[in-house]
Formats: sequence, structure tokens, C-alpha cells
Amino acid sequence: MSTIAIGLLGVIVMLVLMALRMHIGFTMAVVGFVGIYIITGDWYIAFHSLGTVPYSSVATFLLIAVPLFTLMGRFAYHSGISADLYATASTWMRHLPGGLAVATVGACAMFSAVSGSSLAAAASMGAIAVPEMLRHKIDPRLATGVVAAGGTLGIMIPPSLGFIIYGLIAEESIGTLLIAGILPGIILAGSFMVVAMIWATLSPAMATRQAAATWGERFRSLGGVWGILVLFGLVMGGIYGGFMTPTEAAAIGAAGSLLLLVLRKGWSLPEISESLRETTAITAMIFMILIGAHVFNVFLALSRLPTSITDFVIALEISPIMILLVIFAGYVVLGCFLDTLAMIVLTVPILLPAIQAMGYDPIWFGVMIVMVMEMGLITPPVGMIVYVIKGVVPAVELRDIFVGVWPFVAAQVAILMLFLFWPDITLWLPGLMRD
Amino acid sequence: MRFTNWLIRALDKASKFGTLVGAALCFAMMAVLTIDVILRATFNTAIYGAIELAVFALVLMAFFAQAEAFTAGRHITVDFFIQRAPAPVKTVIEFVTLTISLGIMVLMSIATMLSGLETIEEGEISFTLQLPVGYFKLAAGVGLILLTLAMLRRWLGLLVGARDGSGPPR
Repeated sequence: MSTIAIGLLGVIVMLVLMALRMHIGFTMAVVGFVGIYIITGDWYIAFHSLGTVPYSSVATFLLIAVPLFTLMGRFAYHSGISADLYATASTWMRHLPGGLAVATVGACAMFSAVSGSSLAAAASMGAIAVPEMLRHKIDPRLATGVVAAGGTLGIMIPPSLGFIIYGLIAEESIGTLLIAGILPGIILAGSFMVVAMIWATLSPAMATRQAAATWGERFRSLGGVWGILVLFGLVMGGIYGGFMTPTEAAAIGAAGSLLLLVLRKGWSLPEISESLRETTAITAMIFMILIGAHVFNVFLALSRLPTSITDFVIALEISPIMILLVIFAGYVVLGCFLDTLAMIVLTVPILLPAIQAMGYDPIWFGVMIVMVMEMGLITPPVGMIVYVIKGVVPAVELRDIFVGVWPFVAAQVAILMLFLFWPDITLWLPGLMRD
Repeated sequence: MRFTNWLIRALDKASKFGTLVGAALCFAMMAVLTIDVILRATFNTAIYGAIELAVFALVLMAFFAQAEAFTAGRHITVDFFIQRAPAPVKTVIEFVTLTISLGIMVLMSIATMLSGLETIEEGEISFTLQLPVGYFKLAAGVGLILLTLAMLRRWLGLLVGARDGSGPPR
């Protein structure tokens, strides 16, 4: 059997084991180990890679950004800032058609600026915004759909764990990726707001309009969120200006977020301790996937499967856009079953060489796949965010939440097409940074 | 039986202690790097070996927390395909996949420990602080052994549950 066939078989076995609910990190390690042994025929090489990979996968300065950005988000979550973010966004936007739904997107975007997790954004905003919207007689489909869509901004707007992991796997600058996510994240948030406004305008009964706040009220409301805005500016400004590495920016972000928690709740030891414990558990989970991925990548490299896929794709007489569309469709399907981070570590080593061979920028591709994976978080049959929102507001039917997200998924597809045919939008900010 | 219970309790305590150590190291990492950045920005000086300290803290944190992350069900799985399967089928599948996972973790733990011992013998030290790298590799191996024991506990629980009909452990 050729090495390429072994590589392909390895991928199939891995998918089968994953479908059988085997932990993703362990699955990749098992398949990688067995694959290395089969290809090299040397037990010692396979065993040796199991001994060296775990430590070398973790002992990297860049990886410190993972726990520290996670910690930043956990401190922000426990500080209870979500309620203030929602109140501020609502004061500024409630007079618009579907105003409270529009405000929810704004609040989600602001929360995403300190949290790299879509599920955290959806859970914290869902608990605050959905009951408030339902109290103001906004249709449950719009109320839940908008929170689900807004939640997906968590992984798009930096600091995003998705970009950090992609950067590590693709060996691209994490700082550049984080900066590249800003503009697409803002455009996406804007598109969700437009969808909510159009929906409310077409069906006025679904979202009653609220009275506008005075300018005085609006500026006073900023008092509750200045900390988040300053923190985001400090972290992203530090990376953009080259004053800090992403890891250092993550440390400053986590410390600033802790300061916000202390200012709001005092030295609340249970919440600080809970944030640290959650961060430790999330880090352990992510790193086990990374360790497995590194063992698997040794196997992939030995099998030459990525090179063969690249040669195959280049030989195809199909437009690169078509190939990309097929890849993105595959990601949407995978996103229905797999976690975002797992998808990145599984697919990027296989696909990225082909993408680069077609002439696409790896930073652009990173932004695109994170965006496509977002869709998987809110589309059936799994749609993890939808289940999170169902858990937060059990009174709303699951079917209604799924119905509610479709207009926002359509907006995501439209924006994806915009970035596909006009990649300069995603590369504009990183371009300024490189200059 | 008394010994088994003692062993399980000891393992639980070790897992929880590992997470506690990880949480403390996470805080330390944040503090060291923040102070380092502030010192550089304001006094043009830095903490000697801050980066190395943070990296070693990350290694200890990541590996010591593995056992608790497994016990708490934090590791990512794909639930969709077998979520509607009958409970006994699920148990059998879990037993099979856990056996495979256990096998790889036993090998990984041993290989990492051996790699650590080898590095100690070679006398490899870190660049700035000149700390012996091998001991951190050994610590990583200890973390993996704790994870393996947590998996073994679950595996035995499945086996006992299947034998006496009490079902899988929660």
C-alpha cells in the first residue's frame, strides 16, 4: 500500500473513531502513532514521537496567549459586564426598528471584544437580552435568533481562540490574524443589525419600537462600558502598533479584565478562583487536541497526503473559486458536528498547502474558515449555540430558535461571498500593519 | 476494597490538586508577563527570564490539569452520531474507545517520562535561567500519568458497571 493510501486510510479511521465519540485529541494521537509505525516500520520512531511531541507542543511562548485570552474572557464574564453592555447598547439603539434586537448585536460585539468564545458570548447575552426582549413583546424567533447570531461574533472579533489556534497550526502571525478579524467582525455585526432592522420593518408586529433616549442618557450609559472599550483598545492597539506581542497583550488583557472585575465586585475570591479554574480546564482541553494534532501531523507529513492533495487540486481544471466554495461547504457541514478548534487542527494541515498553491493568502483563508465555522455553530442539526440559548431560555421552542437564525445565516453567506470576491477587505488592516 | 476506595479518593484529590496548581500558575503567568510589560514600558527594564518562567508555568499548568479536565468531561467529543443509540450500545462503544485511548495514553506517559529522564541525563538547561529542562518534561509525564489513572478509573468503572448491572459510572 502506498504512503498516500495509508494517509487517506488514517483520515478515514480517524473520522470513524470520532463519530464513535472518542475524544478528539486521543483519536488524532492514536491514528498518528499507528500511522507513523506503519509508514516507517520502526516502532522506536513512533514511540519516540509520542515522547517528544507532548512537551514540545506545549512549551511555546506563543501558546501562553491561549490561557491568558481565555482568562480575560472569563474575568469579563464573571464581572457581570454583560448587563451594562446590553444597557448601553440599548440606550443608543432602542429607537431603531427592532431596536432591542439591534442593541443585542451591539452588546454581543462588545462582549466578543474581550471574550474569544462564541458560546460564552451567547450564554451571557442570552440570559440578559432574551428575557428583556420578550418582556418588550419582541417575537421569540427574532429575540433568540439575534442572540445566536450575535454570539457567533465571539470567535470572529478578536481576541479569538480560533485565530490563535489557526495561527499556530498554519504557522502564520497570530497578531496579524487577530487584526485581520476586526473589520470582518464589524461588517458581520453591521449585517446582523441590518437584518434585524429589515425583519422588524417588514413585520412591525414582531418588534415594537421603543422611545429614543436623550443624548445625555446615551453618554451617561457609556460610564458602565468604558473599561471594556479601553481594554480592547489597549490589547488590539498594543498588537497593531507592535508595542506588544499577542502573548503580552493577552497578559495585559487578563490583568485589565481582572481589574474590571475587582472594580465592579471587589476582591470576589470565588469568582476569581472560578475564572482561573475554568481557564485551566479549557486550556487542558485545547492542549490535548494540540498534542494529538502534532502527532497526527507527523504522520500526515510522512504520508505526503497534503502534497498529493495540492497536486490533485492544481491539476483540476476547475476555477479556484469553485474549489473554495466546495471547501467552504464542507466546513459548514463539518461545523454541524465538530467543534471549531477541532476543525481547524484537523483540516488546516491538509488543506492549507493546496490553498496557498492556488495563490490565496493564508491570513485571508484563516478569516474565511473561522467565518464559515461560525455558521456551523448556529445551523441544524447540531448548532451548539442554539442549544446554549435553549438552555438559557427553556420556554422558547428549539424549532423557533432555528427558524430565527436563518435570516442571519443568509447574511453570513452574503458577507462570505463579499469577502470571497473582494479579499482586500479582510487584508486591508493587516496590510497597513505590514506597511 | 478498602484499598481501592482509598486509591480512588487519592486519585480524585491528586486531580483536583493538579487543577489548583494549574490555576495558581495561570495567575502567576498573567502577573509575571504583565509586570514585565509594565516594567519595560516605564523603566526600560524587564524581569530576568520572564518568558522562560511563563513557558514552564504553562507546561505545568497544561499537564497537571489534564486529569481533572477528563474527569469533568471537558475533552471534546462528537456526540451527534451515537446520541440516540441505546444505553448498552453507548457503554460498549465507550468501553472500546476508552480502551484504545487508554492504550495510547499509557504509551505517551511512559515515552514522555523516558524522554524527561533522557534530557536530565543529557544535562539540557534553559537558555536564560539555565533551569534543567528534563525535570519539566518529567513533570509533563507525571501529569499524563495522572490523566491515564483517571482514564483507568473510568475504564474500571465501566467494567464493574457492566458486570454487576449497575450501568456506567456517572
